[in-house]
Amino acid sequence: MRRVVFFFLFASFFLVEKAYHISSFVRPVFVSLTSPLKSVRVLVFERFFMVRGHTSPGDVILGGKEIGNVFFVTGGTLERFYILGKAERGALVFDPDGKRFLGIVVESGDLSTVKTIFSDDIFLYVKLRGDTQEVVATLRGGRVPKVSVVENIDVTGWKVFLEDSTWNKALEEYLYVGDIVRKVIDHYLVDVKRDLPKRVMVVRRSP
Amino acid sequence: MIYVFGFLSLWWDEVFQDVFSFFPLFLAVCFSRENFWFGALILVLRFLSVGPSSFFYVVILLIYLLLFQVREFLSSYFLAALIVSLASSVLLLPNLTSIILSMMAACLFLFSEGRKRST
Repeated sequence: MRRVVFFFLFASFFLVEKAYHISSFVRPVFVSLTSPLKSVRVLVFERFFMVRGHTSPGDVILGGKEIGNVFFVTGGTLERFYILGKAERGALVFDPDGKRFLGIVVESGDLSTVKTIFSDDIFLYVKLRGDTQEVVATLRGGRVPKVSVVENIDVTGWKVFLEDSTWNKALEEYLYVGDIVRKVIDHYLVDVKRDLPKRVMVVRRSP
Repeated sequence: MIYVFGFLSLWWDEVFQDVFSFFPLFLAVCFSRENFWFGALILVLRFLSVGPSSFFYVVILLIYLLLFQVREFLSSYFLAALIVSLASSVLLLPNLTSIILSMMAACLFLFSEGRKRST
């Protein structure tokens, strides 16, 4: 009986956590406690890559100025993945080879966490480009990301790009998110590649 | 041993969950030793501290309790503990490699426990 009571208490606690994010108070303490082990992991990974002949990931240079760094991806799920090294919180993450937007750094540490476009709680401003026209829209993340357009036009088949006031011009081709496949009621579904590259380019929000 | 696994399922899992997790093994050990309350404590701590506080913790707890209630109808504790371990691996771990590694660890530990009990 006590176990059943515990289950219901835990379920209520779960709902409280979802509403008030209690874990955001506990988690920073825990992250700092596990930091030594993360440092060991980073060191081992670097040595491993060195032995296998991989060069250091390196920096992202634009116009002679460093705007970000390249990081190795260690693994993760569809909704979030981990990169090796300290990336700035809020920085934008791109696939340097596939030239596409991957997500946003949400946790900074020896092993930083990136929230992808497939995460339910991601919300972004995007630019939709057709053959001749361009409109600004909002993108809601999820297993299938959705785009909402205010204008009354059909945007099926258009390309979706991240709208970022700083990098709109300089990193134009890297801001690509995916293609709009079809309309469902009042929003459009976006086809986004799901594979994860071995290394990613992390660019700071302010240069 | 159960306390070591409890500690590792928090401390180790925070860093190496994408490679190998101690949590499924810990749950299996808790189940086989009928130490529910320590398992519950680690579950709550893990829910608050490791990774995203996900809905899966509620599901795992439900599976654990259901299996605990029907344990006498199953052929052995080993089977029930293994199901708990498998469910937690599949629901929590991000890739197939970590699921297989964690399940192998749970199987090995439960086998050795079973042997000790039978001798």
